[in-house]
Amino acid sequence: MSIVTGPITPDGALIDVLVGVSGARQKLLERKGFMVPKKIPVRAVIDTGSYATAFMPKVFKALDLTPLGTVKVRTPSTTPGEPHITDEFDVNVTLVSGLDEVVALRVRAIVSDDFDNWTDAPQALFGRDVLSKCAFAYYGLAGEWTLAFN
Amino acid sequence: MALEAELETFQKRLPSLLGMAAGKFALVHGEEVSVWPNADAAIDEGYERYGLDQFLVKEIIEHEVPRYFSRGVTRCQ
Repeated sequence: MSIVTGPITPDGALIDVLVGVSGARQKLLERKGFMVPKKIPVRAVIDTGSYATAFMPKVFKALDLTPLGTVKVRTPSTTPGEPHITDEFDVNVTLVSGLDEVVALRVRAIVSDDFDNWTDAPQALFGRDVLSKCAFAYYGLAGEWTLAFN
Repeated sequence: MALEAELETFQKRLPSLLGMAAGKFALVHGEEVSVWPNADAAIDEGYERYGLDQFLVKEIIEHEVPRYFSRGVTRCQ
């Protein structure tokens, strides 16, 4: 079992991840002789209230990805019956613990730019699509969270 | 807008797709449509068939129910 732990901060349960192209896209790029974009370090906040994982637009641009789907989404600013539409991207998310890459997950991530821009602020959101693949424990009194993957 | 042609093809073909493959995933490139058991299989095949060309992967369902996301969303231009 792989376990990742992290702090609960005023911004929430924060996790540092590396975002890269999916394995399928990496194989395609290598076969065609193209360079595979380097994984991008991103700080995310774990959010059980969100169905999907999301990254800033600049992450997808840096990975030179185009969307491969759209999805209807309700947000705090939508009104009933009028959802927003956002793009979906095929990415690989690697959870890190110190210098170790612990778990790699394929994710259909959506796009959000609704994050603060100051240093160390979370720039992504980890949703239930990832949490459905692990056990998530939130130890409020200890100020720590744990993700456990089989 | 990205995927405009593919989304149009998907909407046109949705009634017939619902009859034979509801719950599965459509892989759409231009006017070409194929059906796959899940999203990952459709995406893998999309890279295999169409390389770095644009393609769409969409679940075959009659009414797409909006899902909840706790922040604002945007689209990549």
